[in-house]
Amino acid sequence: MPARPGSARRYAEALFSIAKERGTLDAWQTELERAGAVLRQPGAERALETPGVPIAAKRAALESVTGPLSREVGVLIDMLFERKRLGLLPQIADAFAARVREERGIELADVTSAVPLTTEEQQIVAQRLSQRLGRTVTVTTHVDPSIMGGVVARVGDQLIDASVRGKLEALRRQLHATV
Amino acid sequence: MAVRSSDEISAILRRQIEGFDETVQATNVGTVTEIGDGIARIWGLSNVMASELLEFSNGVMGVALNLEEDTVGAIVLGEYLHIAEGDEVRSTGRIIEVPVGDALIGRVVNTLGQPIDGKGPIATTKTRPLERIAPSVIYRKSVDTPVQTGIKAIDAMIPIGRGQRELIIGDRQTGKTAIAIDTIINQKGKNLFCIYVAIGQKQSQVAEVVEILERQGAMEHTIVVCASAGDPAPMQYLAPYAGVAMGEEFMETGREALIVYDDLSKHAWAYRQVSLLLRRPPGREAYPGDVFYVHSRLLERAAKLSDAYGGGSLTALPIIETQANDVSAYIPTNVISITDGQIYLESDLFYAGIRPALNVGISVSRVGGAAQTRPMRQVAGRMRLDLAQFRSLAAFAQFGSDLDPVTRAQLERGLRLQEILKQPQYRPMSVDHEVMIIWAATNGLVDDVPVERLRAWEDGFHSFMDNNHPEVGREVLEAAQAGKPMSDDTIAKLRAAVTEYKQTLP
Repeated sequence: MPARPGSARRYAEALFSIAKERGTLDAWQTELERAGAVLRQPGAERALETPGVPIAAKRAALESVTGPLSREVGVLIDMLFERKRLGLLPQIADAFAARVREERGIELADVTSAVPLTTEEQQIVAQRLSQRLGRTVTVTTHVDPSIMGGVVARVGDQLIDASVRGKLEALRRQLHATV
Repeated sequence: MAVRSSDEISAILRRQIEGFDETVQATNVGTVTEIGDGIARIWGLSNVMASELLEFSNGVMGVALNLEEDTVGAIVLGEYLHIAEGDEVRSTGRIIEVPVGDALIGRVVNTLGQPIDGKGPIATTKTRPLERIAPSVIYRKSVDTPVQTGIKAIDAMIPIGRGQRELIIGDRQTGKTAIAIDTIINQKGKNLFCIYVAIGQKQSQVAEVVEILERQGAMEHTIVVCASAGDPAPMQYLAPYAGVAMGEEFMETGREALIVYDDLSKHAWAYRQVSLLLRRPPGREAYPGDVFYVHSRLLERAAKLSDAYGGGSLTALPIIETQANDVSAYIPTNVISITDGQIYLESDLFYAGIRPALNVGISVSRVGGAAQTRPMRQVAGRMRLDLAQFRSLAAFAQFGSDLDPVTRAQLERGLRLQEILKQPQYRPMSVDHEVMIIWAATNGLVDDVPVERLRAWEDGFHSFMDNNHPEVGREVLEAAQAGKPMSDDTIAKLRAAVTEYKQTLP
């Protein structure tokens, strides 16, 4: 997981507070994500930070890929151009999305299982996690046979280990501590 | 640990497996983003506590020290080379602790309380946290009982009380450790448990100390905590706290303990390294801003508990190594201001043959006479004065040869006192011997003995007293125990015995 510098969070927070007033959370989130995705392309940041090319031209180039951007998102991007911090954009997009999720009480859960989960099972896991955390949980799934069975859910910094491997590990530790 | 039959082991395992708690718990986790030099930077761990114990994925433990917005700076306790970027770190919900208790006595352990002397596991179930608030005022009592160091100069002029913090300070090779070791040796059979914490020393030196203690039979009441120069800086930084936790166990069970930190200069270096690697801002001499607090909170944990709380005590003997006699450097001044007095050792005196190389002029004990046995106070008050006069006269007498008889007598007396205070290493002396020889010297009974023969005279005197007049020593000890000065009767007997001894000499 990449480190999220505090500055990206502050830009995101500023934009978020405007978006919340205007009710444009979803629209801006997709715009930011699209722009962020462009910046994630290797070489894109270097190309867009080339000195000598006027900002308006750079912005036009960016918009030719992302499609037209709303005024405020555009202003934010101009600001980043001016400050030579365009590299922060993907992180701002992440921070914005995180802030939107927080606002709506949604948690992202990363669920790992030994065998692929059926949609039904995924729903059960999501439901159980929601009960436990008191928030709506959106689940993304991975398959990792090395956990042997059960599931491992990671929500934020919390790790809920209900896998066979985790239990065996805990048992090993307990036996090790006493004998 | 007791040897168990395989049936027993199976039964225990069976119970364990049956009783295994299967409930799933959420743990707080993070990811290592940076690792090196015994320091890890971890992303995540959002709900970790300050100084909480962390567990890296390969089983190595760590301690969270810096809690920042997204990351946690942690020290790694152990091998950090096998931890890689991207490894998972779990918080444990516990804070760092060490095993304590009587099972540790006679053992050599590392900072985590694990044995490193090859004598098998340590059977103790009790643990104590490393960091703890020092006992507050209501638990304490003023210092009133002495720690007998067995070193004449210290017991007579710089008495150390139980619960006191007395600094031993001096350049390298001036005998700082020797004083601490002699003090530990002298506690044999005296119900004072000793903890020797070696910080940043060579393994060979520590091995030597342990060997001496073993040879002198002093390991029977001693724990050695060792974080040598080869151990990672975090281990060196935590070692004194581990030692003091073990000492507190004795103190709080109503017993008495003595802890030696050898030495706090290296401890400050280790802490400086840890702090700089954690990117805490450097201050004077690049030490972090809280280096004073690091030492003061450590030394505050030495205490004499009041009788209502068991009456135990923990005496601290921190050691500081100065560079070229510079006691005004940062760490020495800090520790001087924290402790209740200091013993200065000087290399000039050491090479002049005055060993222990104590500078009695500037060494002090702020607890002082309260922590001295009455007979010792009775004989030693005079000596301090005589020695002070001697020093001022000696400087003056270097210029002229014509001295009046009074001055000459004072000089002669001073020379003899100085000679009496010399003492070989590993030969701590009992209180009665100390009192008798100092009494003889301050009362002019050795003025006619040539200075160069005084050492032999003293040795002979002690064995003469033990063989021919054991009752005098006994009476001195009884007076000491009763908290009374020596009676006139005892003094008369002592005087007669000295005269008798002198007649036996050719």
